[in-house]
Amino acid sequence: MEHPRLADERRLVLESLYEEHARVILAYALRRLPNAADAEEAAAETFVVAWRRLGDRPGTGDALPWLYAIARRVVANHHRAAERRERLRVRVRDQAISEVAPGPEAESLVMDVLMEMRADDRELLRLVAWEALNHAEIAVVLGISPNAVAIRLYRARIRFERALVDRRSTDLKGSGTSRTSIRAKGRLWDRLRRERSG
Amino acid sequence: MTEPTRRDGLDELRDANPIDPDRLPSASLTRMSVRMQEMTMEATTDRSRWRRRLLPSLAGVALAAIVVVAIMGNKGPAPSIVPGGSSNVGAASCVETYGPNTLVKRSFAFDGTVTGIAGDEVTFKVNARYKGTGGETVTLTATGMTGTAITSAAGPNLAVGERYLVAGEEHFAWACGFTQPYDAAVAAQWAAAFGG
Repeated sequence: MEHPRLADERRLVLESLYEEHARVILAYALRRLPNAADAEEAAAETFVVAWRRLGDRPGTGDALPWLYAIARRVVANHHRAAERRERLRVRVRDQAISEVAPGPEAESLVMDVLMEMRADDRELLRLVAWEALNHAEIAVVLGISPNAVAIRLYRARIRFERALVDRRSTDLKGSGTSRTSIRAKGRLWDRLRRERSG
Repeated sequence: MTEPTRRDGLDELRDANPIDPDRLPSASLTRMSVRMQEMTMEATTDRSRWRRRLLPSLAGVALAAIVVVAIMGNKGPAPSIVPGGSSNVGAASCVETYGPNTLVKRSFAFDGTVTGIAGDEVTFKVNARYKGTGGETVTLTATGMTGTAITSAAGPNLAVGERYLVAGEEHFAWACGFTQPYDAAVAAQWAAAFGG
């Protein structure tokens, strides 16, 4: 049995981590999971895993990249579980973003292009643009070297830029704006559901 | 080398961020907090129950596990949900694994001496060029090898005045063996690999 004093200390650390990072971890999950309930569950699970594994927390530096790395694995597990459920039931159309936070329009051309990127490119781009992490922090999240992050990110950015140019060019040729917006909203969350984050 | 020329796509992606952490509804955060407390309670209860029921038989299970491992061999650890420390950087953390076959695929390779370091940008005086074109000096991005990152694992810590063998792509010096302290024997291998 864990000594009560140690248990209290661990709980205090958990509370501190939660107080400081709950919003960004929930936002991370909401950006990647198709409904708010799954995202809230995944974010809660992230802190519970962190609480169980406080001993694995990096001794120096910010704990946030470590939390993101846990969240990334938890979200991947939720994607796998969602796929299993998907085979057994009719698709549920609740959508995280529309439920909890009316941000910029998710059906934008940029989002559409993002969801067509390779999964590893997509995650790199999101970690930079949405979680605002630097190379060293992304290296902790993805478990790769900062050097590999820099090289992969450079290539991902080029592919993303080219895809944006191609999509705009295609849309211009064939009354594209409406086509993009109609297609994108329907496909965005279908892709999110299918997405593998690993 | 291809540089993005139009408006930065990353800026467009930042603008399209669907979730603002500062605008999350309190109801969502409350549900998350309640769920976390439930999970921690379950975990604590499960652990106590597990200890009471299973501790007496642990010795037998451990013995069986040792026998199974001895017979089957160790297939390596199961995937963990908790990331390891950042110092544990192996081949999987690299863009490619260093070796003769992967070395010759790089777009440039040279023997050079560091003349300046600014952030992640490192300038080399080229002593011998094995592959690629350019002048007597070259400036490359050497992320993770200049002491500005949390870890310089998988690459040397470059220092002004020191001599290195350097290979990479685009404007990046690659780590993981593709950039390493100069060694005459290795330099000869590089020269031979590139047909020198």
